Amino acid sequence: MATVNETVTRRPIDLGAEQAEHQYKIRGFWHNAARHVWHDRLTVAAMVVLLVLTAVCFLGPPIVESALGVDPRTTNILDRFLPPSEEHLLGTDQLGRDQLIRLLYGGRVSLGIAYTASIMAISIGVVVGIVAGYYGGIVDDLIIWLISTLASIPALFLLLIISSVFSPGPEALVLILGFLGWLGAARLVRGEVMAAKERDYVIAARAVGAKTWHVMFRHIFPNVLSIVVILLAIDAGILILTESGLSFLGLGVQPPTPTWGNMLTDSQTYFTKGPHLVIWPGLMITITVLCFYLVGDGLRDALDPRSERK
Amino acid sequence: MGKFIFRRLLQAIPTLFGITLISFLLIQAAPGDPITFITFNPDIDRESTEKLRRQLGLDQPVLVQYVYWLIGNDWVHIDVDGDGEGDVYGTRRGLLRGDLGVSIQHKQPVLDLILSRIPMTLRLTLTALIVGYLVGIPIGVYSAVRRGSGFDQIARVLSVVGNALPGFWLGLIMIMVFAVQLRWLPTSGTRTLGLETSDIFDQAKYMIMPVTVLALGGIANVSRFMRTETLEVLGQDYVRTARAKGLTDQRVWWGHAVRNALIPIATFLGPALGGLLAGAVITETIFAWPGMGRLYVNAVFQRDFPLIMGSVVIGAVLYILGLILSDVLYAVVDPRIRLS
Repeated sequence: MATVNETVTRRPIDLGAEQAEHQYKIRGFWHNAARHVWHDRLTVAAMVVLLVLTAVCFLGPPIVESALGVDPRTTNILDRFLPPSEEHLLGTDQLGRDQLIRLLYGGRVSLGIAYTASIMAISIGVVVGIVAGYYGGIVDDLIIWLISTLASIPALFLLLIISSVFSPGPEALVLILGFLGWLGAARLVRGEVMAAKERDYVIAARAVGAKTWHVMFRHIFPNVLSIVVILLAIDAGILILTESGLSFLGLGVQPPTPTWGNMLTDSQTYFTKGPHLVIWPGLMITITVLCFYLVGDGLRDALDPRSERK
Repeated sequence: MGKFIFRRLLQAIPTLFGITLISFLLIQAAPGDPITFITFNPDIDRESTEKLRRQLGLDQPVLVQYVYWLIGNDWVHIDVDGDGEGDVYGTRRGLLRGDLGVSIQHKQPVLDLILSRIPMTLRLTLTALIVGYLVGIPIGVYSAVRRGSGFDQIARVLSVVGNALPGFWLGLIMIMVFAVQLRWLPTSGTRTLGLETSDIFDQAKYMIMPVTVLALGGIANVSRFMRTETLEVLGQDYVRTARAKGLTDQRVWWGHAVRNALIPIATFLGPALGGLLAGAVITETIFAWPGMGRLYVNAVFQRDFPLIMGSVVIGAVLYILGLILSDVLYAVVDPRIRLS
């Protein structure tokens, strides 16, 4: 409690603001960011949903299988298009397979692809972006030409060609999506690196003879780390959409391996018999993508020094 | 201005070459070739397949095939029967002379096929673009003006949700609800068969669902962008001045603030066009819309190399033109920007 005397000379609200400012300064950047995220309820909620969803999809299937006595491969012609019941909580599909367990396995594939492909795409983007931004000159020109060329093909056109060429399993699809998804990240990182390499401490590091890769990854990389974290989340969302779109068209992950996308492939033919088969996979996609975007937005607010402090 | 456009077009040429080379190499890496699709007939003997392969030039090295595709093969003697001597001259004239080859699956010139489909795709994408801007801009401006209000909150939530919704799923749900359950709208196609071709209301009914699906992402992005821009402009001095002069809120918002906030949105046009082209692939497939996207998906499934290449080239040209157009538009709406 402030004494009466102090409250007269300095209003408590100013004191609070000053203290907050002081606190803000003595804590590190990431510490502040974490606190910012923690107070952003929407972002925390989205993170929790994603964590739960991931945990359920990766750990849940054996439990559900033994508890309900279902498995994703058993087909049963007599049990086609069953509405949700106690035995099949989300009903059965066109081949009499349990939808809940297929959704879980599908989530495993879809989420797995999204996480790994986004890590891969961003890693490539970071390396290419740092190299282009750091060296500049002809290296930069070449990389920029490559990026703008690849970016001028409507992305889905290219993806369709590639996935029809390799008719990929989930692992190959990760590689394909990773190799095509780095363009935006590389551009952003390049811009950031170009600004960072002119900073005094980088010039100093070079002046004392630090090796190039050391300067790149010890001194420059931390500057782009916040972009990387934001992009990882948003990219994972975009990748879920891309993968499910491809699989829906029949050019992504091939059945019988379920993904949320290819579970919708044939749904057009049984609107009347099994609306539950149309609703659930799409709902899972939407919720997941939504959460990734919300987390990305929340992280941007927390990590972008230009966004206002709360 | 003319100089700028000319230079941008020149810059587009190496990009286009890169695109064609990359896609060509990729397609050639495919395990199945179109011959296997044409010759499903089990009676066909090995000799005739080989002959066909030589005739189509598929026995040549990839780069040679690329050169033929680019500049034609009417100057090459093709050895059709495999005896080491050239028999006939090629008939293709190549991309550079305006020949994209003949579709293997449709047995028609690729260019004609694509040109006949482009109007349908443009009808869908341009309508979606216009709807996106017409709906997105007012929502964004009103959100900014009434910042923090219930309307603003809802609009912001919806714009994130709109981005997260997979277009194909929204399409499926709409068909299920509005076509199958309620029977308000037709499921797919472009017009009621047997009806006059020029019945605009009938055709409009067929466009409602595909356009909604395509426009949703645009509405979400435009409104979100517009909100940020308007908020920025509203905080500037000249807006305060306008208000101090005693102008009504309406005049300040729509006359002063929005006009400046609209400028950056011109840059949205190019990328939006690319997104719409991609979106059209899926939307056209769901709604059985006879446009470029559906043609392309079928070509990919059938390994119809000439048609795939043709679609990629035309798609890329449209996209690049869109990007240039949006740069030009940017300069037109904002006299402060000098194109250089």
